Amino acid sequence: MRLLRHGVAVASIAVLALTVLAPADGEARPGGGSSFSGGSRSGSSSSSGSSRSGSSSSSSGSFRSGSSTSSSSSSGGFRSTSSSTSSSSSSTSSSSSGGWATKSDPAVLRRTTSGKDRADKSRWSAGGSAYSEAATARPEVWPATSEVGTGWVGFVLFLFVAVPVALVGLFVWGVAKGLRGALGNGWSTKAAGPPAPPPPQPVRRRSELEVIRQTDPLFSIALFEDFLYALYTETRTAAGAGHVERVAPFIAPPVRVELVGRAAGTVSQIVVGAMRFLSLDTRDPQAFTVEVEFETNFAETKGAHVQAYWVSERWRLRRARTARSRAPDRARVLDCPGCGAPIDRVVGGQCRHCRRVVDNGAFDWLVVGVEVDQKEPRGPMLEGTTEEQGTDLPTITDPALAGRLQEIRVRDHAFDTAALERRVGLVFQTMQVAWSGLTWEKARPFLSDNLWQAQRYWIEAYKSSGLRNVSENARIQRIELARVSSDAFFDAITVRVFAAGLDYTIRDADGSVVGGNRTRERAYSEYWTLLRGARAQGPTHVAPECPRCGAPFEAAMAVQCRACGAKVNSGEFDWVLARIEQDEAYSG
Amino acid sequence: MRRRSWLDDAAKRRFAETIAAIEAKTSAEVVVTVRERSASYRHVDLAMGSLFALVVLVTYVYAPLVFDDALAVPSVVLAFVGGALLGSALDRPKRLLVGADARKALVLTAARAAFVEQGISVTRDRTGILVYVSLLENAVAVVPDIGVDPRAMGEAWTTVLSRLERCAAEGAPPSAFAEALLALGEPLELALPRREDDVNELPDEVVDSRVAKA
Repeated sequence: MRLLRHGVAVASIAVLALTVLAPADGEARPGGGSSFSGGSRSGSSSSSGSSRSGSSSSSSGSFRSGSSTSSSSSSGGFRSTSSSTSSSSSSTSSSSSGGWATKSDPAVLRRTTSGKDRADKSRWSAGGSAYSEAATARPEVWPATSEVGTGWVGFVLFLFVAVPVALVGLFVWGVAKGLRGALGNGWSTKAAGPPAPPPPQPVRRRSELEVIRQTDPLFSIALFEDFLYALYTETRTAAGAGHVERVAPFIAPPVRVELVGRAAGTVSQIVVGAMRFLSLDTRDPQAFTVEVEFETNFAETKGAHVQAYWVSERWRLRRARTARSRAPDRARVLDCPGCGAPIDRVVGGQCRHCRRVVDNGAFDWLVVGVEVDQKEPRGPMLEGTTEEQGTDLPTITDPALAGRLQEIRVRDHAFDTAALERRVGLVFQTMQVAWSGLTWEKARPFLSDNLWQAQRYWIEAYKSSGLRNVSENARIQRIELARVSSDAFFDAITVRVFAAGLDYTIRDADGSVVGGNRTRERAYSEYWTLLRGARAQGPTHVAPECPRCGAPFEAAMAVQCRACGAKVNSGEFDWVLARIEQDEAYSG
Repeated sequence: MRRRSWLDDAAKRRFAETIAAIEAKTSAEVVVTVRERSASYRHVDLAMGSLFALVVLVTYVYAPLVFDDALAVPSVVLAFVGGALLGSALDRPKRLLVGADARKALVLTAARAAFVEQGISVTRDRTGILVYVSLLENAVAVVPDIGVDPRAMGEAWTTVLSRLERCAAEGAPPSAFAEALLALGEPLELALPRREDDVNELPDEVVDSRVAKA
């Protein structure tokens, strides 16, 4: 077998060599190896090493001459060749008719017979005695032949050998190809390549995150948001202090390294101004990946230098589908995701209490990527006037609204949408006063922690810029119900609030208006989402009082009722405003 | 291996059933892929063409006949084309002209490529196993994912592999090969027993390569 392979290899090389070399010594090989035919071509060749004697030939059909010293002609016109060779500079001329012979140089071979006798190698003879003994050996120079009327053998060979070979090859190849086409070229018990996974879906509606509830029935978007706010603040603080290991269970090791490397000083005064869900990736059968955008403000201190920054960044968080959400009381607590042990028990990603590796997203959300899109040493743009958009758009109403409202009524017979609207009015008025007076604490009992903090971000931004955004004569014109949703811990009701009032921004120093209009009212609408604990029952409170014990709120209301100690803005007892979305941003 | 018997619907059904039987015992995910060949072997086609061309050329040069020179080059070219086409259509020259080791290496390379292309690693515990059969080469390659530890299965695993390789080398029909494949379930059952929550992560339905590629 090996011999056969080697033989084929050698044969391939040989045919290549012959193909390359054949034309060069075409006139000097036996058996009609010259390249002339039909008397229409002539040429010359020389095989001598140092000198060459050109020759020209003429035939009946054509004439061609070079700078020859002699010429040959072929009367038959079929083949005519002359060649000359010598080791020095000898030249040869020949003339033949039906054959060839050397005339002057005995060293040159000559053929004494006609072409038909060419097969008889013994009849090759030297023109002189010098080659007579070597008649049967391949002569040094194979003279060309000139044949008349003998091409039919080649034609037959061509017709009956080469053409059939090509045809047979073509036929067999065609049959094989057809057979392959019919049978196919293979199969598999699985599709070649996994089905192209869909790209991460942009989250157009927060409710799309509810798909996570398919594997985690306790998943609550509100609690997830709470967790993210807390995680962002803790992570930025820890990274600035160089102790990012404190949040190791929630930050992937490479991201921890990255965050520490980026930290330019201790971080403080972190305020999350906005948080948006960008995409939800469900392609991985093992995990969900969520991309979140944060818009924040914080101060970095390096030595004595303090610099405030406005930052926009995207975080990617992944969590195994087998993981389960935390209960509300642990939503903002960063502890061991595996067992709930204090976070200082987690060292190097492993909990010393439960002995489990917990920085892998198997138990809770894990930050696997942080991209800082913008980080500018400034606050948000506060001056100028932004035209209201979308106020005239129809309200986006959930088709399941009526049914879900009924579900709440079944659970809480005291639930009344009219009372809810009055509470919305109370929240609205309280916010206007607190906002314009830069006394944002007054609004705290009615707003969730996250929303209150996000709005405080703007209050602080105005303050630090020496500006004040004023809302005068603000009043609700009407309220429309838009959506109701429920999860394991909360009911959420979204209403669209149509309002009008004066809205302008003044510079505190001189009272000049730097944005909005002080004389022309602006009509606007917003989607407000209010949360209440799923187990809460009883009438909706429409006065500034503790939703648990009914004690009146004091002027500087803390989030905890001084009478009963209840956390009044937890949503556990009554509706609190958790989110405000503009018309153009709300999608249902 | 007889191409027709391996590529017909009966063989496909037989292997789908065999896989279902294996996966009933184990959490491993077995995928069988059958390919007509694992490489194009274009060099063999060209060698065949060269061989034919050489024969014609040698005949032209050395045969005691007189040929018309004008037909020399076409004859050689036609012989080359004919030989190359014949070579591409026939399997035997490829087996003769390509060494067993080289063929084995080509099959293994193609099997590993198929493993990636078919996404066999997309299983929860990385327990995918590709059984790749290449008909022209009369060869089989078994590529397990990292969740399958052949060492843990010891001799039972190697015995089954040897049996599969023998079947392939002898050009066994699909039924015999499927029977040998079924024995794969035993070592897998011991090393990777089926779990209660096991799901068939890689579909067992047969997909033609042409369709899959499209």
